[in-house]
Amino acid sequence: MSLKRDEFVATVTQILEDMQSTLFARAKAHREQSTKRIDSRAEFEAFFGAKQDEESGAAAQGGFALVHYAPDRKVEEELKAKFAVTCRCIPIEGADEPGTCIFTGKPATRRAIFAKAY
Amino acid sequence: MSNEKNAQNQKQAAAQTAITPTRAENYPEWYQQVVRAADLAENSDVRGCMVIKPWGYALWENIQRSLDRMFKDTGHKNAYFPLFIPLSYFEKEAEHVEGFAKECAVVTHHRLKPGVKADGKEGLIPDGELQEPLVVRPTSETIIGASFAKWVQSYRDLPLLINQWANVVRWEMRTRLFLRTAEFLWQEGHTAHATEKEAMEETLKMLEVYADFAENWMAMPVIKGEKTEGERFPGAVNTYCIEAMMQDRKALQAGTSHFLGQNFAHASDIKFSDAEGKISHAWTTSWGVSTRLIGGMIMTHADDDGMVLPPRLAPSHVVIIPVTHKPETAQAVLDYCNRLAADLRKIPYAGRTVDVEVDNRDIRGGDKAWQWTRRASRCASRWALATWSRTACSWRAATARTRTRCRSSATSSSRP
Repeated sequence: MSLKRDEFVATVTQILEDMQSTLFARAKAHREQSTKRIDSRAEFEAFFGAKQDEESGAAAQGGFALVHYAPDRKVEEELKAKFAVTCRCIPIEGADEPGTCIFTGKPATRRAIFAKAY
Repeated sequence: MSNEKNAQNQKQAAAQTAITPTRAENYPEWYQQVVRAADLAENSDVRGCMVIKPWGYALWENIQRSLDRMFKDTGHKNAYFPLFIPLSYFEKEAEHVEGFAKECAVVTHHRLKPGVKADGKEGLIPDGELQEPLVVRPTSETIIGASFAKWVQSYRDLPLLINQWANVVRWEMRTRLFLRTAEFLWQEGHTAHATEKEAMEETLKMLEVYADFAENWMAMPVIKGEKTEGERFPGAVNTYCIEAMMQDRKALQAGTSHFLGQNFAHASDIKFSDAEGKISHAWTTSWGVSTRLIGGMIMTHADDDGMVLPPRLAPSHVVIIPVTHKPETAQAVLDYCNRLAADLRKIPYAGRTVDVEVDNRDIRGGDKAWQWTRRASRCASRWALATWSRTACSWRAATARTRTRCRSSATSSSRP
């Protein structure tokens, strides 16, 4: 594609803004593709697989797992040790969605995000 | 050349990337190579500490400028507090000291004298032991709290809304450029309020500012959430965060905002008298983002050809590479490029004006193009300004046998 000089000067900020929104849309699509609602411990373990080998640089598995979770430090310690997965956060947006914690069976009001993290 | 060989060569050319290895081959190594190839930063001789190079620092300056505006628009003022925190200050909040104790740099002496070093050689050894060791700030709640205690007397002194741009030190064992370094640059907001409600509102307001910045400036989508107890900031009542997903599907905590309750107000004795003269402890918050954001930007946008910059934060938007093969027209081409740059630089964009570089260094055009590719990757389309304005006669004469490309340095490209 080629542009005349004056056309380029006239449209440069629009070109930049288009790039800006393209980058955001692409990153958001990537996140959505790699986010999964998970409703059992077995499915959770399959999603993350074995602990990633940091040294070999093997690709991380999984993504964001959205699970019902009743916060419990012991559960988090175990998941960190076994799968190198941590509770990233309990999202504050969106309505409550009552359910059962996939790790302890206790009641949970919302889904939390679990993932491997930097 | 046989057709088969030709096809093979073409395939190789198509697969050639500016960054080796590719993301698919080895993501952590790809990351280090992007940082290096894009000239963003490098490791220093000081273990765990990075040197931020001009291209990377310009990115940080743009982050600072945009965020600083947002902090000021929400009523905050900048100030600066000491790098050194007396150990006794640091000890005042029990959970806080426990959380940071394992990664503190501690100053114990204040001068050097000639002597015999640990390795048996003559040299300089520390002398003048301090009565009280000083901790190099890993975060500044306690030292800023000491000032707040002096500044706050009455409810009229609240809310106190302060931000500091500074460096901090956390003695990390495993470091990675931008993502985890022993010393890093950040901002830390510290506020004090008369009520719990106001402090909580502030905590969430700043989380919102961070999310706005991440999405609208960095083009990095984030999820706002609350941390569970085990992931909380040491000493905080609640920690809120923005979490982003990197291209390898790992999460990056990109910013945090803490509701500190009255924990640090008790530790630092931040008290005020209300309208009826009753004395209460203030409610405080703290919030921060760091040079880690640059790591997040790399892992969100960069590709196998190098860095990809969100235009609103890009140090340069347009890089003009004059092609001056013929000495007799070189000056005319350069003049043309400079006039184009001047016109572009008048255009307002993202709180500044379009940033243009005319790369007139005396190196091969191909090398220049490749270097800019690594720094800012490919353009979505290559802005080949082959057809020029009719008024640019000198240029038209010069373009008879040469082509010049005008590239935008803030670019996107296809991702596998």
